[in-house]
Amino acid sequence: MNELKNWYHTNFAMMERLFKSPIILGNNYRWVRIERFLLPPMFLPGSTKLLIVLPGLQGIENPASFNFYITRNLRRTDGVLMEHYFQDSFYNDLRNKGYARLSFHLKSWDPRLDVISGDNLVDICQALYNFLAQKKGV
Amino acid sequence: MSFSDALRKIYVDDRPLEVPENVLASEIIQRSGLNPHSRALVKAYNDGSTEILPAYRKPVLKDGDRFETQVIAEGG
Repeated sequence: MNELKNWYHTNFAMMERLFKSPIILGNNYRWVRIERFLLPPMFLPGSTKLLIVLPGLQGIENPASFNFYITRNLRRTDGVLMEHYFQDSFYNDLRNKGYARLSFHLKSWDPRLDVISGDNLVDICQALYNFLAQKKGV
Repeated sequence: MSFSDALRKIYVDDRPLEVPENVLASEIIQRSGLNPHSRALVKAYNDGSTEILPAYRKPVLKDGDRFETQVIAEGG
C-alpha cells in the first residue's frame, strides 16, 4: 500500500515540476487535477484544467481505470473537428461540474512501482497532448 | 541497392537514428530499442500538430524528420 502511495506522490511531484502548475489531489488517490495544462498551439484558450480520474489504491495496472476530463468550451482554430470531446452528452458524467470528457483510452500501460522504469502519469499526459494535437482531429 | 534501401537520418525522442526509407512505424520503434507492442510512433509537425502512426504504416521519411514515442492510446 505504501509503495502505491509513493508511486502516486512521485508522479505528482514530476507533474508539478514539468507542467509548472499547481497539482490538486483527490481523496484516496481517486483523482488528480493539473490546474494549468498547456494545450497544443491550435487551441483557444491555450490551457485547460486536466482532471484524471485514477484507480486509487486498488492497483494501477488496469488501463481502463483512468478517465480524462478537460475544460468545456475549448475550440480549435484550424477547423479540425473535435470528435472525441464530449461536453453535453451522457457520456460526460461530470458535465454538471464544468468539465468535458475525452474519449481517450489507454491501450498499452505498463507501470512499475519504480516510476522511472515503467509507464507513468507524465507518459499519459504526453500521449493526451499528442492526441489533442492530431491533424485529423480528436 | 534499390532506391528503397536508401537511409534516412531521423530523430526519435530527440535521438538520431538511421533507418531505411521504406521502414514500418513499428520497425522504427524497434530500432529505437523500444517495444512496438507498448509504444506508438508520433510524427511531430512544425506547426505543433501531430500524427499518431499505426504500427503497420510506412511513413514517408525525410532526413531530419522528428518523431516521438508514447504509450499506445486511442479515441473511442
